[in-house]
Amino acid sequence: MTKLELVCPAGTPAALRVAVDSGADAVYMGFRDETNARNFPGLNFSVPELDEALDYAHGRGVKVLLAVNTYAAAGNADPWIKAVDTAARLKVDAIILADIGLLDYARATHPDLRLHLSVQASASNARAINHYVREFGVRRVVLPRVLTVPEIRRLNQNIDVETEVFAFGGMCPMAEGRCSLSSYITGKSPNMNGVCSPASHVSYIQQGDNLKTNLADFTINKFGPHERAGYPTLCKGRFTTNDTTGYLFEEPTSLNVTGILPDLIDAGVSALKIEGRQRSKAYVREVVQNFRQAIDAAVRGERRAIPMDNLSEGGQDTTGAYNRKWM
Amino acid sequence: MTTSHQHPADDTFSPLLIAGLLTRPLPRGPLAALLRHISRRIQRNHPAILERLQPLAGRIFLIRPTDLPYDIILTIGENQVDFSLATETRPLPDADVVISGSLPELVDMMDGRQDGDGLFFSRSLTVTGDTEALLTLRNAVDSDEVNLEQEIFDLFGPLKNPAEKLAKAGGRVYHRLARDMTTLSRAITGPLSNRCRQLEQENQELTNRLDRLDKSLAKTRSRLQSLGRKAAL
Repeated sequence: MTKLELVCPAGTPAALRVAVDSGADAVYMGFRDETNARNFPGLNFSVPELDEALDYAHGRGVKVLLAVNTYAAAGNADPWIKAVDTAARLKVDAIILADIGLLDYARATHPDLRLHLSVQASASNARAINHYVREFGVRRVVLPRVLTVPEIRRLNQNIDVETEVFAFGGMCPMAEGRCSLSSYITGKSPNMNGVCSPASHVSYIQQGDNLKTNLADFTINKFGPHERAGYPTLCKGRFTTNDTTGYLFEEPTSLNVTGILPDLIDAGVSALKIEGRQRSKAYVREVVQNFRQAIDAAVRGERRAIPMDNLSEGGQDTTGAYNRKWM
Repeated sequence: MTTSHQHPADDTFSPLLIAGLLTRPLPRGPLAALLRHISRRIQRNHPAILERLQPLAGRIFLIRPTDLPYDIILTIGENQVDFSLATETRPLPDADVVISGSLPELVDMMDGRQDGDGLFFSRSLTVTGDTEALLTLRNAVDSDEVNLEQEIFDLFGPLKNPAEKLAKAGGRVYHRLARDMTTLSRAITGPLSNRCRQLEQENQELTNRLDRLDKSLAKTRSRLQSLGRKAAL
């Protein structure tokens, strides 16, 4: 049976130490700029912090992956090129890229640097994946959250590269790298600016016991007293159409695959990605410890679903597209 | 944004709320001294946090523990932070962000034992104001290992160890009391909540009925108008 690699988020140096100490096999992070898809205020790593993180993780046998996973700005690719050069100089274990220009640059300039294809590239079929492997020597592909487990199995049979799938956290119902929904009302998108629902456009308004969540002055949701809340993302908004109020795309919910780990292993998946570089140390500790247990149990042939409703958006979780029944 | 000095009416019914009410007449001196100590320790021991906080220089956060009768003001300066106690005589400054929650949860969040987003999803934590400033503060504090509990015990000097033991025992008592309080609170408010839910349901049914009647009235009116027009012809 394949041993699943547990890839964990680190938004800050302290979160990295927590992830390493809690049982991560690899930790991923980004620089404090627009080169990574979690460009949130107060978050991410400076170059010296990445250097220290490498010492800490490598000293404990844990890999470090650097996400440079936004698309280089037209006319000014310098920050992205610099990020790739720094990653190579500091000897990260792999760099996670989406932009084909950057993949080409990394391949040509730093042939020893291991390349992972970011989910932002949205490569979801064998032809596209084989192209990235052939042209840029990509060693691992992070699959978009739109495939079912049988589809992942078929895909793995037709490619010769490691696949990584999302295991826990933000449940993005759109095809990654293709979604510009938030830019229609905020002018910013995850693909170009590294932010979906940027904090600068978010406001939380208490109306008595009710909570109203706004994005750029549009009301995304209203939660009644004691109703579990979620982030104000457009794809998880509650809207009124034809006198009916409800969730059009997706409810506030989080992905959790602890219950289907044996199926993912059987489908040939190599690594599991925990989402949440923007979340706290407490989140990283609990999720990583639980997944460590679940993976070790799965390797012993056990199936162990571990609910983590306390950390989940809307207080509920889902296996998302992996167990899709509506198509 | 203007803030008032009143705590929300729906304060959590907890042991700390009662303890807070009992300690209200006590001098604020020791608590103010503790906050000054915490400010100094963060400045001395956590330069990485201060660096991440720099975009917030000049911002004011109001921390409102729902189970204590005190508000705490956090002011971010150039390479410094200042925690101070709001006093009844001094008017509260206009805060950029207001954070409300129970004291144990606020401390656990600051010490990295509780996830802030999780507390927000469960509605245990209330935040209003500048979300970007809030997020910057949260990420900055989370970027290093802050241990508020330890800072508090350090203040006890040679009595640190007994204080720690006492606090741990107190913590166990607190959690047991909190459970009892929740049970008691549910027992008191349960029947009322059920009645409220019932009334809400009845209200919803009446609203739906009214909507249906409105629609039917509109249809009847339109039919009558149409008949009227035909009769006129």
